[in-house]
Amino acid sequence: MCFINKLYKTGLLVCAILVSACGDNLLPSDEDKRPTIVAGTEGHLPTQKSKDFTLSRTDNQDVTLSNYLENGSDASDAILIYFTMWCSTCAAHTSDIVSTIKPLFNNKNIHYLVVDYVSGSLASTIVEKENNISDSWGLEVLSDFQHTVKDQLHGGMGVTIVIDSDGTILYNQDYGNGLKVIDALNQAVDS
Amino acid sequence: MFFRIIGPLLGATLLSVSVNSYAGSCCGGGSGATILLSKMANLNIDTSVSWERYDGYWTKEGEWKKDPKGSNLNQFRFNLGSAYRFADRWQGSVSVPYVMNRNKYGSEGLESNTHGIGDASFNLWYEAFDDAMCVFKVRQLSDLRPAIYWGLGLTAPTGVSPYDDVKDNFEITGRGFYRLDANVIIDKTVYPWTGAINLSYGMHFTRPINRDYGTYVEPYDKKLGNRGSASLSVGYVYFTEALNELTTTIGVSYLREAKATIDDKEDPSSGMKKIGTSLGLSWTTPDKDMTIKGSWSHALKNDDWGRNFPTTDVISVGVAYVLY
Repeated sequence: MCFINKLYKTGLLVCAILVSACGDNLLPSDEDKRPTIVAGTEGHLPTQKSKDFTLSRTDNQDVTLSNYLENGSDASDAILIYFTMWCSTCAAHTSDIVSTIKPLFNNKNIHYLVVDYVSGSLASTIVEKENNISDSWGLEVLSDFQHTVKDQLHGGMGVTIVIDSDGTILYNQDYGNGLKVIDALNQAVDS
Repeated sequence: MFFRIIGPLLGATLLSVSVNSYAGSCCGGGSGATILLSKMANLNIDTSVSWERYDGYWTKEGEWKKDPKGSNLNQFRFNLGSAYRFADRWQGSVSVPYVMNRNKYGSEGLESNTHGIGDASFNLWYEAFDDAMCVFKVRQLSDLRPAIYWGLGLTAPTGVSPYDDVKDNFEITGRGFYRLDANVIIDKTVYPWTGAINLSYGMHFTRPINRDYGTYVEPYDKKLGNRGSASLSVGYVYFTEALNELTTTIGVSYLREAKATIDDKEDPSSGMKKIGTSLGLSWTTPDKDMTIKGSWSHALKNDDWGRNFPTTDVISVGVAYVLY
């Protein structure tokens, strides 16, 4: 038993060493490590300009970002992009966009784009849109089956992007509780 | 004498089946299972392999929905755990899972295969009894007294979380938060029947976050909601002539997690609820030093059986080896 005790304690020590080598979660940091970037340059981070893109919408029309920006054919005050993978978290975020955010900006012209990056074709996105998004919600569902926009804007589950009318990104991170998304939209419509 | 030896051993066998922790595998997170030693055991090594298959989800309103057509979403976990007795009434355990995510959306959709260590759990248990509480016949009122275990558990964020340097959620193997749980297990066996109730209340700790999915963001504080869970299981023990034990267990469980907060403001899209069922089968050798166990946890795909949570089936098989 003595040998087993020693072996066990050694095992625990090895486990502790292995575990202590894991990620940043054991000792999380509150240090602001955002890189210094030049505002107005092309990129995916806040203060940068979004590169133009075109994706297919579930009504088989193409949606081009620049058409929604000032001087575009369907210019708007702001664009909100939400990346979905049709999961419970995505459904909760989408529901919050419809029930909380949209009513706050009823009198503003904002395009709400839901980007499906997991379905492998426009046809699949159309099916998922029918299953998950009501037409009355006023959301445009786009298919990004080639991951063009996901890669360009570093999208992923729950990632939300707010772009103002001149193409500047004001917010690009997890939807969170939605309050920072609202702040960014307010900034966009006030600018 | 037979009862005194067999009782606690059987109790441990039954508990190993009935005390399944919640995998917490929503969005990739996996944590180990609770491991308990019987009264006479000093040490055990517990290994198991779990396959969790995702099949739809409940919205936050409780409506059950299918996953995208053709999806094949799976998480495999190899759990390695051990418990150690350091006093007559005290024992501790540690469990670490290794998580493999295997996901595919539709025949031509996104495909992802990732793996890594999951969230580890550490438990401390106090046994509120000195002798075996399992009986073969109720002869007096005191024979009905259950075995009660009081426990304190710590889940450590050793897995890969959304706040690590990851590209997307498919790489996640843990939730990224410390959680402290207060647990109690009330167990009673009157052979051949056995029953157990497991109650747990857990509190997540607030943590700072400065990165989301690999991108550094303006730092903020987040706290996942506190969670409560309860499970009830009933089992039947069958002895072979050679004193092998075959135990079957059925159980039902309830889990609820309150809404998270971000910078002290409630996150309306968080919080969850899940009701699950389980079926377990275990076989223990006559000298009681080894148990082979299997279980199937199933969530019913009905509205209001869950909220804001994936619906999954979990199949586990494992071996526990005990030293006395």
